[in-house]
Amino acid sequence: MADEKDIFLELRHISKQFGSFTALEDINLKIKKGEFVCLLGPSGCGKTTLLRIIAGLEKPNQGQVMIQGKDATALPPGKRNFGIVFQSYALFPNMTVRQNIAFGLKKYHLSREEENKKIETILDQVNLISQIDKYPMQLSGGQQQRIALARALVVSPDFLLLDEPLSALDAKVRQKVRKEIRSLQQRLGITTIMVTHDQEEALTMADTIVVMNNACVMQSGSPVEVYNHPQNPFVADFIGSINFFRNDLLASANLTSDRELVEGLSLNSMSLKACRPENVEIVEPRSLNSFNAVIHDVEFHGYGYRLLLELSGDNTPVNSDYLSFDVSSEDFFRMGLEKGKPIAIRFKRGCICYFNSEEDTLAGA
Amino acid sequence: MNTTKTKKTHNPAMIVQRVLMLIMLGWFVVFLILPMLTMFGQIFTDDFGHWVGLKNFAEYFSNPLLFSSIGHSLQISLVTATCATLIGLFYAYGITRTNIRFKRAFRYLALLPIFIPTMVHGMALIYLFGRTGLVTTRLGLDIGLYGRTGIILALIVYCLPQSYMVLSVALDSADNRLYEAAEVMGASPVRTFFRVTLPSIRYGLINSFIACFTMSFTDFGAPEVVGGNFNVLATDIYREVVGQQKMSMGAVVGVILTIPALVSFILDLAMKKKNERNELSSKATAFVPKKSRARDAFYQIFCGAQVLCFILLILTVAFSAFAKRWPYDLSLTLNHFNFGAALHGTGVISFVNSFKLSLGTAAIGTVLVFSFAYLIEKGKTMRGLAGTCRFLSTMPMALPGLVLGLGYIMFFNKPWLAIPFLGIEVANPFSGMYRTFSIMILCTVIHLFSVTFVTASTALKKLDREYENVAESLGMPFWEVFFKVSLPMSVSALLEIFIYFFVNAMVTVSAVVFLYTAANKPASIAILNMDDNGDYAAAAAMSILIFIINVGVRTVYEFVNVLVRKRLNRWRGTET
Repeated sequence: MADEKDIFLELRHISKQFGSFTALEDINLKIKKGEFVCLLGPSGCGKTTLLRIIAGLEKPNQGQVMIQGKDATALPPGKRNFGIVFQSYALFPNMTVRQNIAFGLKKYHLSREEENKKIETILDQVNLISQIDKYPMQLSGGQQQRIALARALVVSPDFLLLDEPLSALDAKVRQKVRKEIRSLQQRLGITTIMVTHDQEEALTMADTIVVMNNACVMQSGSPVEVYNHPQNPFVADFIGSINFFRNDLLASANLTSDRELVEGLSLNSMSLKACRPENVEIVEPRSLNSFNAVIHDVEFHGYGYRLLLELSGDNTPVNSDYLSFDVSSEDFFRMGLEKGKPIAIRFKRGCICYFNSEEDTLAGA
Repeated sequence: MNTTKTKKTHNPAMIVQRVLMLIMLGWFVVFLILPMLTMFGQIFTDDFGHWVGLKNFAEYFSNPLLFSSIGHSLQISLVTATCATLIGLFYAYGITRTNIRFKRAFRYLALLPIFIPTMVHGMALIYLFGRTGLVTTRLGLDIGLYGRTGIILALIVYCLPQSYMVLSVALDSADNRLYEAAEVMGASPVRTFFRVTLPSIRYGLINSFIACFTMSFTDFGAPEVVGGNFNVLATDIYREVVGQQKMSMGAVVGVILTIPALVSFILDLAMKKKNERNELSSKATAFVPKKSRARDAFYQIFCGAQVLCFILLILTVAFSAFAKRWPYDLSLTLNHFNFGAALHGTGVISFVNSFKLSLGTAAIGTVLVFSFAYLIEKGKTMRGLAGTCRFLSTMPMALPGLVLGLGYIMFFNKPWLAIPFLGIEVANPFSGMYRTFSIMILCTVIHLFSVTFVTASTALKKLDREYENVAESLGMPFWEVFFKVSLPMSVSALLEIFIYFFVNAMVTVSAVVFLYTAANKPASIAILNMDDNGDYAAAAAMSILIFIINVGVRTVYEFVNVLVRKRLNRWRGTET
C-alpha cells in the first residue's frame, strides 16, 4: 500500500442514485500525487458520474471525497482547485482563444501584462500560440482540445480532470493528442484523472487503470496488471480480446503430461477459463497437450491474421462460436494456413487465466 | 470519527441564484396563479362575494340566449379550423414541396394578417361586402356577411398564418430517402401522398387544427365587429362584465371559454411525448421536388390567389382610410388620420399608448422570458422549483386573453385578500397597480409568455450544458457565463422574442380589453370604439398605422438579423 502522505485524492464509500437508478455503489479509491488514472468502462458504468463527483458537479448520496487529506465533499467546484476538460470541450464560441483562456483568470485581478504572460506561457505549452486571436470554431478538433486543456491549466490547478477528451477526434489525430496529453501531464507532474471507454487509450496513457462496470469498480491496477492478470471475466473480456471456456478442455486434448496445463485445464471444471488470442500457438499434430482444430475463417488485420478455429469435441468458447487465434503474416504463409485446413494448437504455458465465477458477466454479452 | 457534519459551504453565486429563483416563483404566483384562482373562485360566489355554490352555472344554463353561444362558438371554430388547416396545407405544400416561383416572397406575405388586430379583417370584409360595402353597393351582390359568414371568413384569415407556419414546419422536415424508396418501389404519387406524406405530417395537421380551433373559439375582435346578432362566448363575456357588471357570470363564461384551450393544452402535452420518437433522424436528406408543370401551375395560382386576398383586404382598409367617404366618394384625403372628430380626439394618444404598450411589453417580456428560461434550463439549484416554473411557463397557452384580463381585474381590484383556512384578511399589496399602464404591460407579457418561453428555452438548450460547469470549475459565478456567453450567443432568439412581443402587443385586444382606462387606451381598443361609434374611416386609418408600424419594426428586425448572422458566421470562421 502506498504511503498515506502520497495520497492526493481518496474516495470513501461513494454511492450515487438517480431516482431508482444506482449510478455508483460503494466506490473506494486512492489516487497518488502525480498519478495518471484512467476510469475505464462501458457507457453507463458510472465513470463520468464519478468524475463529476470528484469535480463537485454532482453530490454523492453517501461517502466522502478527500482531497489532500481534507474532506471536500461539500466544497463547491470552484474551491477544489482543479482544471477540467469536457467531452465537448465547451469552449465559448463567441470568444477568441485568448478570451477563452482569460475567462478563469479574471478572479485573480492580474495586471494586463501578467495576464497576457500567463496566457502566452500556457499556449506555448500546447503549441498554439499562433492561434491566439482565432475563434474556437475556426480551429481543428485537435486544436480545440488543446485550447480547452490550456484553459483548464492556466489557473495552475492542483489536479486535472478529463472527460473522454479524445472521443470527438479522428483516429489519427487521437493518437497524436494522446501522446501530447501524456507528455504534458508528465512534464507538469499534475495528478490527472481521465474518463474513457477506449481500452487502448487507457492502456497506453495511464499509470493506473480503474475498470468499472455496473456502478462498481471491477479492478484497479497498472495496465500490465489488468491486461495480464484480470481479476474477473468482465475485465478480461473488456480489455483486449479473449476466449472463454467453461467445459473441461482436458477431455478432448491429445495425450498430456504437463502438470501445469493439466491443473489449469481440468481442475475446477465449473470455473471459467480464458486465453488471449496471442497466447495460442500452432504445434505439430498429436503433440502433447494439443488440441485438434479446423480453420473456420480467416480475418486479415493488417499486422497479421486472426484465425477463427473450430475446436474438436465439445469445446466451443463461451463468448463465441469459434476460438480466436492471432498469427503473424509470416507464420501464416510459412505454414500455408487457409480456410478448412485442420491444425493442432496449444495454449501457451502460464497464459491461461481462470476465474471462480458462475456468472456470465462478460463485457461483450 | 465522523462527528463533524459536512458543513454547507457558502457559495455566493448559488445564493444569488436561489433568490432569483424565488423572485421567478413570486412573479408567477402574483401575475398568473392568484389572478386565475380569484377568477375561478368567483364562479361560486355572487357579485358581492357570498358563496352561492353552483347557482351561477344553473343560471347560465337556464338562460337560452347565453347557452346558445356555446353552440355558436363551437360551430364557427370547427368550420374555421377545418378550412384554415386545409387552405394552410395547400399553401405550405406549395412552398415546401413544389418548384413554384417567388417562394421567398410567399413565405413573408403569408404572415401579413398577423400585423393587424383581428377585428380589422372583419372591418375589411365589411368595407367590401357589408351593407354599405363596395361590392354590395356597386355590384349589388349581398353575401349576407353579418353573423356566422363574416365571423368565419375573418377568422380564417386570422388563422391562416398560424396553420401555414405549423404545417410548413411539418412538411419541411421530410426525409427525401423515404420518397426515393417509394419511387424505387413504384408507388404512384397518390399512394405516396397517403402512405408517406400524410403520416409524417399527421401531428402537424392535428396541431394546426387545435391551434386554429382555440384561436377562433377565444377570439373577441372578429365577432364583435361582424358578428351582428350572432352571439358567441367571447362577446358574451365582454357584455356580462363591461355591459352589465356581472362579474360572476363573466367568470362562468370565462371558464367555459377556457375548456377547449385547456383540452388542447393537455392534448399537446400528450402528443409531444409521442411525437418525440417521430423526430427526423440526423441522416435524413432534404426533400427535392420533382419536375411537374401541372402541379407547379396549380400551386402557383393557389398561393398567388391567397396572397392576393391578403393584400386586397389590407388595400381595402388602406383605401377606406384615405377615401373621403367610402364607398361613395373615393377621392383621396388625409383627413381621417388626424383623428380630430373620432373619440374626442384621443386617437393620437391611443396610438402613442399602443406604441408604449408594445415597447414596454417587448422590453420587460424579453428580459423576463430569457432570464427565467435561463434559470429553468441552466440553473443549478432548486431543480424541483425549476420544473414547476417550466410548467407554469406553458400555462398561459391554455388561458384565453379575455380570461387572463378578467382574472387581473378581479385580483388587482380587491382591496383585501383573504388567506384561506385562517380567516385572516390582509390589505392587497398589489391593488395599487389596478388601472395602471404597468398592469396592461404585465398582463400582455403573461398572455404571450408561453410561445416566447419555448423560443428562449430552445435557444438555450442548444448551448453546451457544460459552459456553466466550466465557470463553476474555474470558480466564476454563473452570471459571467450568462452575460458573456449565453446572452451574446442567443441574440437571434432574443430579437425573435422581442419582435413577437412587440407585434402581438400592438394588435392584442383580448388581454387588455378589461384593463384599459380612458387615459391609457391602446390603439387596438380605439379601433373597436371607433367602429362602434361609426367612425369607420378613422378606425381604418388607425388600423393602417398599426400595420405600418408592425411591418416597419419587422423589416428592421430582418435587417438586424442579417447583421447578427454575420457575426455568428465570423465566430464560425465561415465569413467569405
